[in-house]
Amino acid sequence: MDNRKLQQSELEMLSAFMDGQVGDAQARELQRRIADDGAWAQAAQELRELNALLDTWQAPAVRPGLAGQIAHNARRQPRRRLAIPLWISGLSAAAALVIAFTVLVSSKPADHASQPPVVQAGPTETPKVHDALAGIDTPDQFIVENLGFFREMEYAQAMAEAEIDPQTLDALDTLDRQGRGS
Amino acid sequence: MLAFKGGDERAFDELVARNTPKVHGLVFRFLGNAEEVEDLTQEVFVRVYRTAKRYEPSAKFSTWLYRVTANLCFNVMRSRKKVHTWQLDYSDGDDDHAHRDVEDHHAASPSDRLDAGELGQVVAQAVAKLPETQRMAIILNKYEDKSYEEIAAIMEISTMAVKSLLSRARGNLKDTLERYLKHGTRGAP
Repeated sequence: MDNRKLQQSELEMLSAFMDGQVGDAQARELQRRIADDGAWAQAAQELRELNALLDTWQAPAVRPGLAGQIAHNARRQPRRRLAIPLWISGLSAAAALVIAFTVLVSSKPADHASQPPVVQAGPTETPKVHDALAGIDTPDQFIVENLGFFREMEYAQAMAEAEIDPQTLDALDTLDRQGRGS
Repeated sequence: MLAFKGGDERAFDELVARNTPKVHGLVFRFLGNAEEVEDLTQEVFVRVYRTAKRYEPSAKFSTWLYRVTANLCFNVMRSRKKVHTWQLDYSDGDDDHAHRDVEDHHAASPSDRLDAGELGQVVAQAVAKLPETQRMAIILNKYEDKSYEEIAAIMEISTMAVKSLLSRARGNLKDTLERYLKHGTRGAP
């Protein structure tokens, strides 16, 4: 008896051969090795025994009527949607609004310059104010944090109500910048 | 499938009738739990029903069906692992639980007087111990008569990988079932 063990690559070849998954030329070569080489013959015999043992495992028969039941149920099964609770949707919308506001405010540095001193940036820009905000309830905190924006809105509304024409606004803006520059 | 996709509802009945044994067999052998088999077989066909409109015949229908089934089996195993991990964490230090595990281990000890049905159970346990990909490959090859190319298409891997998986699966099974290969099969029909 040949005690040599086949290499992994040889075992793969043998396994594929036993499954009928090799070409004709390779099949002839492997048949020759099994006939001439004890190690190959033993490995082939072990695989045959294993295959016979695996055959003893039978799957149970399908219960009569199961297929009809499955087809019936498949038609009735409602489409599942992503289980996102309503409150998460609401929260997401609120978060999106906050982000939109923040982006809008931070992307307008030139506008700050065009405003009179009373509408300068909100109190969130100083660490002291930021610390003071920590104890305020969330909805109020949102307003205070974005005070600059709300003031800006009021200023724009006041200008509109006073029917100040754009040219005058530009002139005020220029004066304001000159004043702060000096 | 194409007839059903085209709106023929009766074609779906025929498709289910024709393919239920295949899906049922694969799920049973892969999961090894008879209680879940019917539910999961149904889940496969629910998915087929829902995705019929988007089905494109790029491969054989049976390959696609087996792929849907295999993926579902892998998903189930993944969720089982999560539950198992949680249970292990939760029952840490439970002596009674540990004792039962030892008893189960001894209950699986071999016997020379096993009949074919009992040998089948031993084989089922050995297959269940295989890593998931090896298990899927050997079930598709040995019990569903799939070629290496078909297995590669179902598992979305190369034929070389299939060849390697099958060889390693057989090596592992040979090690696990060694005593039955020497004694058990002699008395088997």
